[in-house]
Formats: sequence, structure tokens, C-alpha cells
Amino acid sequence: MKFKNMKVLNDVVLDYNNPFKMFELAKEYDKLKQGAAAFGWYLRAADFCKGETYEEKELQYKCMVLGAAIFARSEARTQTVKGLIKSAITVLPARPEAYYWAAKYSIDQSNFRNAIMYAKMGKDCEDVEPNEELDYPGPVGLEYCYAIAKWKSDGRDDSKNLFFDLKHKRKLDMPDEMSKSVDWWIEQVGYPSTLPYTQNEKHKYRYKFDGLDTVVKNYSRHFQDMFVLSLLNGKRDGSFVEIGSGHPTLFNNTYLLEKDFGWKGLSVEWSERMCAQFSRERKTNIILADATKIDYSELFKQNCIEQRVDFLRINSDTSSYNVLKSIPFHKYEFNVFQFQHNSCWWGNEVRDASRDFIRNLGYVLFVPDVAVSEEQPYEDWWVHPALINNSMKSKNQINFAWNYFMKERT
Amino acid sequence: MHDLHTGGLANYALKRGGSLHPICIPTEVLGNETGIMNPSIFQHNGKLLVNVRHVNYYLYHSEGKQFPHQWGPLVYIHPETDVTLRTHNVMCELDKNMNMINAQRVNMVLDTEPTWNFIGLEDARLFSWDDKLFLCGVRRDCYDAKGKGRMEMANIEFVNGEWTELSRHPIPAPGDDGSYCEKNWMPILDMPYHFVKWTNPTQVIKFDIENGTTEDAIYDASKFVEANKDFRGGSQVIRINEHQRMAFVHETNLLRDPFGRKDGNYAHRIIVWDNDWNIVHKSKEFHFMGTYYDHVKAQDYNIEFVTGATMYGNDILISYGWQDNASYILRMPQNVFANFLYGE
Repeated sequence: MKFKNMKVLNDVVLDYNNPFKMFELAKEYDKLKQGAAAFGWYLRAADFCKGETYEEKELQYKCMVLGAAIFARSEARTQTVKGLIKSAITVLPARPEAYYWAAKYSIDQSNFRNAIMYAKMGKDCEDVEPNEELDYPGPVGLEYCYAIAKWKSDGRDDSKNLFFDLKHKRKLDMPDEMSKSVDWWIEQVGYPSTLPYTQNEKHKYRYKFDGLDTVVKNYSRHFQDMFVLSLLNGKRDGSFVEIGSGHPTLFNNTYLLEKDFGWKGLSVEWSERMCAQFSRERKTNIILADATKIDYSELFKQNCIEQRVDFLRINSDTSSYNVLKSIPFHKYEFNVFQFQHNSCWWGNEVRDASRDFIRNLGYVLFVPDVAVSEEQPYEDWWVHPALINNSMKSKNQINFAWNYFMKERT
Repeated sequence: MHDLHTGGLANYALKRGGSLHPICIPTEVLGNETGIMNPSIFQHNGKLLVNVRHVNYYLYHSEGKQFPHQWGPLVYIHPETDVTLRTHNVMCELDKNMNMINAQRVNMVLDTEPTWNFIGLEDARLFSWDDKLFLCGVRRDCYDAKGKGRMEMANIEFVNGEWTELSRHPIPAPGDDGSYCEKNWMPILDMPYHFVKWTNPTQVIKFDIENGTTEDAIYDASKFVEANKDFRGGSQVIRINEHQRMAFVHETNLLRDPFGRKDGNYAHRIIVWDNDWNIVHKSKEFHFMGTYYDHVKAQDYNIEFVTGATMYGNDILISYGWQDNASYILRMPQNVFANFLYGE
């Protein structure tokens, strides 16, 4: 092994009070994995610096961060790593790199609460571009640490969304190694059970419609409400029938339609608790009943449902097919029709039977096997033949909702 | 006038035709990135060899106290799971330009189960007597559980592709051998089995390697040379002309911060003896890499340690450790060195 850059050493010897030159020497040692020598010079550089100007503070900051990195790659020197990172933060608390290192190191130490804290603090810092010198990948690094720490800390489903967001929204910002790590994490934790649309991703949304600008976020798990609006071009004052509505807002497929687009309709739900909450929070009429025991002709009549309904949704778990067969299709037509068959969990029997049944009614299978992930289909989306919009008709056998709706950044 | 005090001897040498050479040992040899320190340079059978002490810690020395460790300004950073201070010796061969040809850990095959937590042969000086190559340093892991330290000579040789310890020779303190710790004895290269045990007043010890006994060869308390601090051992004692020998010695200033936590400053001098072991000259005090100077306390801070020196062609090579973290060889033209030694 040869120390090639003798100039940096000679510069330090000849200009012995110059911390910037000491820093360059330290980096040279660091490159050669001569950690002790590198650290010695980082520390001297920091100590010889007065820390009066931003440039001087930045030098001290870098010395502390890179010093911490040396100890982080050595064995069991946690107190020293933490101390150096804290020193860096003390020098320039508005810079994110030290928080990134702190979060990353806390994850390595399985101290996930600390990692969450540091990642959050880093995310609130001034927006600093990736910094190769400090091995800082940019804000995406903090999001990456936050995702891991959050998941490891709470194991909540919404923590999975953080990994998903990294993979699908920040892929191009991540270094290769981080990108691979995110793929690994997604493989471990699985896809989130909901993929929300938010306004700041409007530019990536494929099927724009009138009023899209006003949609701050949606509520469905996988864009079901957005599909209806896209297909009907943001129709206002539309109508719906929702069988198996669940929570009035959370993951609800009609709340956006009602709230932002003035739709009216009818919801059916067997859970007394959900119904009670629905009644408090929604304008829509909710029926508390077992969906398989309803006379839908009578129900629709009583609720003045018009013969042409914009949106029908059936989600009654294992009973969905029975419910499907009891809908009075001979009297009522539906522009958009979503049927949840859950084939990824329960097999293809219900799906295949429902498809035969609905096809015979003349509807067109527009988006088959809408999926939670690239390989977990759970429902079909049908469209009335009069409304076929070829630009939205999927040619894929399985349609991972995110990929169907959102353009990847290139 | 020169800036020796603030810039150090390396600065002085570089400005006058000298050169400084860092010793870098690959992590494949070391196994980690911890300190390589206190190198001892020596010419043996036409080869330029340096023994380097590799420890299991990083020295954290915040000289300016702007960024002290939570445990103080001067802290040994071991693995938190390991309270031992471990030393391995790494033998390096250099070419004439001080580039490393090879480096290999010395296999101390005669090591036994340590009795204390400073483990290994520390601050070993490299030298040859009777055509045998020796490492001689202090061992504190062989005597008791309280850290009793004695100098030990290890005869090493390059055998079957590796540097190996062939024999080991503990050196008792002269007299009743009752002291707690002996260290930094300086081997006198042209007087086999003699060491300068103490510099001022000079005490030369003769070691009987066959019987494992020591006796005073030279000691006259009246030969004390006026000095503020003790001169402690450093390099080998090398002959510089037919009338004189010299060695690099160090002076320690062990300090405490306001909270009682340790800090320190190590400075060096060159001592010249005549053939009767009278100290006939001492250089000015110096550092190699300069120091952090605290103007409020009028105090220097730096840790350096010389453990080797050798005349090499028209130059002198001085090997030293910096902050227990790095090792260097300073090459100085001999005339420049002489000017420095006797005052420019």
C-alpha cells in the first residue's frame, strides 16, 4: 500500500496551522482505510478551526461526520459515534447529513425510536443536495431511514407505504444499493394495503378528468374512486350504489364522489358500528343489513334509485357472488361496476363465475384483476358497453393499481 | 529563527531538503483500522525494516478541547466490549524511497495466557546484537494481575515465510527487581546487551541473556544535568562518531482538564553522550508535527513518540508515532540534522 498523494501531507507539514489542509490529509488517509490516522487528522482539523465563518463551521461539521463514519465501521464504539454526530449537529444544526448518519447508525444499533427522531429532524432541515463527500444521498436517504425505522418501530400498515413511496416515487433519486435495499424491504414487509392518490402526484396521473385539480387526496385503497371519476370525466351529481361500504371515509370508495363531486346514492353495510359512524359522518343513506338477505328491487325502489346508476360496487367478502346474482340487472343499468372477487386470497372460482355472469349481462371487463401488488389481484372493474373509452381499457391480465394509474418518472 | 516550536521538526526538515513518509499498512494485514504507532526503524542485513505497533484502539485527542470526547479530551477508544489494550507487532520492509515492500504481523508464538489487560509487547525497539534481530519492549501481561511491567527481548526471524518469535528473554530490573513497571529502556546498538535504562542521570544496564540477570554498568547520580523534566526513553542509542552516541528521548507533561480528566503533551529532545556516558549535549525541546498551542494556558498539546532512528547514507531516518494513530518516518540530510541538533 502506498500513500500516493504526498502533496497533501507536505502541505500540512509546511502550512501546519491550516485546518483545511489537515482535512484533505485526513480524507487521503480515509480513502486508504487508514481509519485511525484519518480520524486523528479530522479531529486536529476541527480543533484547529476557529469555527467563526460558515466555511469553518462546515469544515468542523464534515470532520465530525466523517470521524463518526470511521468509528461506525469499526467494532463496538457506539458512544464515540454518537458523540461525534452530536458534535456535528451542534456545529450546524440546520444541515441534514449528520441526522442522516445518526438515523442510519441508530438503525444499525436497532434503536429505531432514535432513528425516527433523527430522520424526522433531518427531513425538516434545509434542502441539501446529495453530498458525496459525506456519503449523503440527499433527502431520499432520510426518507429511507425513516421508512425502516418507522416500520421496525410500529409495524403499521401505513409504514409500508413509506417503502412503497420510495420504490415508486423516489426510485431515480436513490443510489443503486439503497434501491436494492428498498426492494428487499418491500419483499419482506409486503405492499401496503392502500395506495393513496395525493395532489402532489397529479402530474403523474394518467387519466386526467375535469375537477382533478380540486382533488387533494382520494379515499379508496387502490384508486377505485379515481377510476370512476376518470371514466366519467369528473361527472358531478352522479349516483352510486355501494354494497359493503365499510368505514364512511377510511378506504371508502364513494366518499370522494359525495364530498367533492356532489354524488348521491345508497350504501349497505352489515356492521352496526360502521353504520352508526356512517350516519354521523356522511350524507348518504346507509342501510344496516346482511347484503345477502336484501330484496334489492324493493330497496332500490324505496330509495328512488334511478334506472341508470353511475357506479355500482359490490364488496361483501365471501358473499359477493350471491349478492351479485341478486341485483336486479334487468331493471337497472350501471355505468361503472366494480366487483371484488378476492381471487388472490380465495382462488379463482368466484372470479370466474362472476365474470361469466357479468359478461352475459353485456358489460365489458375494462380493468381485470385489479391488484394490491404486481401479483395479488382482488377485483374486476367493468364498464357499460355504451361508455367504452379505449384509452383507459387495460390490455394487461393483472393490473397493479399504481402502475395502471400512475406514470413512472423517467 | 525558525518555526520549530509551532511547526515541528518535520516542517524544519522539509524546508531544508528532508522528506516525510507516512507508513500505511493495509487492513488485510491489520484486520481493522485502529492505531499504528511508535514505529522503530532499523537496518538489518541490507534491508530497511520498521517494526510498527498496532493497537486495538483509536486515540481520541482533542488538542483544542473544542470537541472533547464525552469521557475527556484524551481517551483511548477501545471496543466497548473489550477492556484490554492489545498490541501486535507488524514488521515492514521498506525500499530506499521509504515505500513499503511488505508488511506482516510478527507471530509471537511464545505468548501465554495474559495475566493483565495490557496484552502484547509494547513500544518495541528493533535492533540487532550478535547478528540476531530483537524486538525489545515492555510486557505487562506475564507477571501478575496488577500490571507489573518488565522489559522483554524477543529474538525474531523470518522463518518459512513469516516473522516468528524464536526466543523470549525477560529482563529483570537491576537490584531487587522490586519496581512496578520498567519501560522504554533504550538498546545501545554498539554495546550488545546494554541498555540506557534512565537518561538523566544516565543509568546503563548490562543484561546477561544466558542467566537472565541485570546489573548496573554505569550509574553516577552526580552526573545529573539540569533539566525541568525527566528525559524518558525513546529511540535506540546510536553511535554518531567515534566519541559520541545519541538517542531521541521524550518528555511527558501529563495534564488534567478542569474535571480531572487526563490530557497530555509529549515533547522530544536529542541527547548526546560521550564515551564515558556524560551527557554532553541536549537539543532544544521539539515536536514533530507541531502542536495545538493554548494561548490562555500557555500550554502545548500533542502526543508523539519516537522509537527508532538510523543513519542511512547521508541521511538520518527518524521513525515516530503521532497521536497513537499514525506512523511516520522523517528523513533528514545529516548536515541539516547536525545544524538542528547543535542549534542553527
